[in-house]
Formats: sequence, structure tokens, C-alpha cells
Amino acid sequence: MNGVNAVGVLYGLEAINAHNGWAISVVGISVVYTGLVTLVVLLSQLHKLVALYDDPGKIKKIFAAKSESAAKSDPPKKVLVLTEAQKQVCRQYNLLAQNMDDVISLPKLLRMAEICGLQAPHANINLLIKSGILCADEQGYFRWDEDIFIRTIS
Amino acid sequence: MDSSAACLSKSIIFSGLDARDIEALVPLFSRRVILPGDVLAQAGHSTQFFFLLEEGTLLVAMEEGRAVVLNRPGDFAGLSMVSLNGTNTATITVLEKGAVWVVPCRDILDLTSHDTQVAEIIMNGWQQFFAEKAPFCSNPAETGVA
Repeated sequence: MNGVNAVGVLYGLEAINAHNGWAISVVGISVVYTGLVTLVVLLSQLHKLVALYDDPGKIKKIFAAKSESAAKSDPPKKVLVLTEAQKQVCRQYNLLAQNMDDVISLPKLLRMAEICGLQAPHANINLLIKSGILCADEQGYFRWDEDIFIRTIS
Repeated sequence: MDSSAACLSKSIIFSGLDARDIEALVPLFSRRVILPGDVLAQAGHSTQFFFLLEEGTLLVAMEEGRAVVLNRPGDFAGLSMVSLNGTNTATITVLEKGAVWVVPCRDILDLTSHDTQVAEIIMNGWQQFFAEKAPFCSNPAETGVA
């Protein structure tokens, strides 16, 4: 028979099949490949470790930034207590804001409120700003804080 | 606040001045009560006055729909935030009832155009205020008025 001599010792593919050679090969290749990938990832991040070694102050800054963000995110913002009339005003301006882009131009919102005939648009937009529903970004635009809006009108 | 001196002392732009310099500025300012909807300056018109906020809220509407809301006592609607080459670049509208101290823009220009310590303190304060309120705008060092 192929792969078997007269004594009965297996050779070639028959020997591989008989002794789980294929499984061992797959495992071996996987181990080597995983090791290589891990090494590549570690080497790609080595420059960050070198930077930290050069400037240990960065480690403190990282922890300080994390504690600041935790402090900022933990306490919920205080919600202004509004009258029912004011809550209705907020709902009206929410409809206007939904017709605008993701960022709100405050002058445009004011013009839209005037065109729609909403009462006291200046005072009401000021109310939205004071309540935190309208928040300024760093580009001169504003965004509608849905979370504060829901908590304010509820 | 019952005087412009107190308002000037609260302002980031003028708080670095000593009491004598602040007292010298007081005669330049005149108080005006503001009501919601009042337009203090219109974009495109010639610049005549700047405004120091005592109380209330101002909306400074700039180009491209951008805006800055001034609501702290001592906030200053003036210089390059609202004007360029003698023309208003922003519209200043009152959102909340209050009061402002009005100063002719020419007086502020004369004050900041000379190479004096007062001018340096004011412009340093202005750069700090401008960077905080309108970081998206360029050239805070400009006085804005020709």
C-alpha cells in the first residue's frame, strides 16, 4: 500500500493523517501568527511609551483629565423650574429648532421666531439660554440640549 | 452696580487698570437702560458706540449666522468683535432687560492707539476676553476701528 512499508511503518500523508499532523500544523501556524501580530502592535505603540518616559508629567495630566471628565459627567445639570406657560414656549422653540441643522444659528432662530409670530422672542430665547436648553459651542453656534429640555418640561 | 467705575472694575478688559486710570475713563461712559428687542448696533452701519454691559443680556450676531451672548457684568461689546474699519460687522440686540454703559468708539480708539501702559493693559484684557467669548474669530489684537 502507498505510504506503508513491509514492516507497517507509515510514511508521507498517511503518517500525517494518522498522527493528527494537520491539526498540529494549524495550531502551530496560529500561534506563530498571533505572536507576530502581537509583536507588531506592541512595536507600533512603543513611541508612546518613549514619550511618557521622556515626560513623566504627561501621566499625571492623563489622570487629571480623567478625574475632571468624571467630575463633569457625574453630577447632572440643575434644571430651571419653569411655569407651564414657559414650558409651552420651550416646546414651541423645540419645533423651530428641529427645522434647523444640527447646529443652531441664534440670529436665525430669533428671525424665525419673529416670522412665526411667537410672543416675546428675545426674552424667550434668553430663557432657553439661561435654562441650559440652548448651549453655545466654540464656533459661534448653539445646540439644543435634548436631555435638559426633557427634564425641564417634564 | 451704581457707577461705570464699578462696572469697569468687573470687566476683564479694564480690571487690570488701577483706580486712577479707571476714574479717568468714567467721564467717557454714559448709562443707558436697555429693553428686550432694542438694537444697539446694526451690521453695515458706521460704528459710533461700544457698549459695556452692566446688567442684562446682549446678542452679538456676527457673520455666517454665528453669535456671541454677553450676559456677565463687565462684558464688552466693542472693538474687533463688532467693528472693522469703521463699519459694524455685527448686530447687537438686547435679549434681556438691563443697562449698558455707552462709550463713543472714537474715545476707545484714541485710548488704545497710543503706546501707553493703559493701552497695553486694555488690549491684553481684550485679547483674553475675545479668546474666551469668540475663539472662532481671528485677529483679536485689532482694535477694529479705523
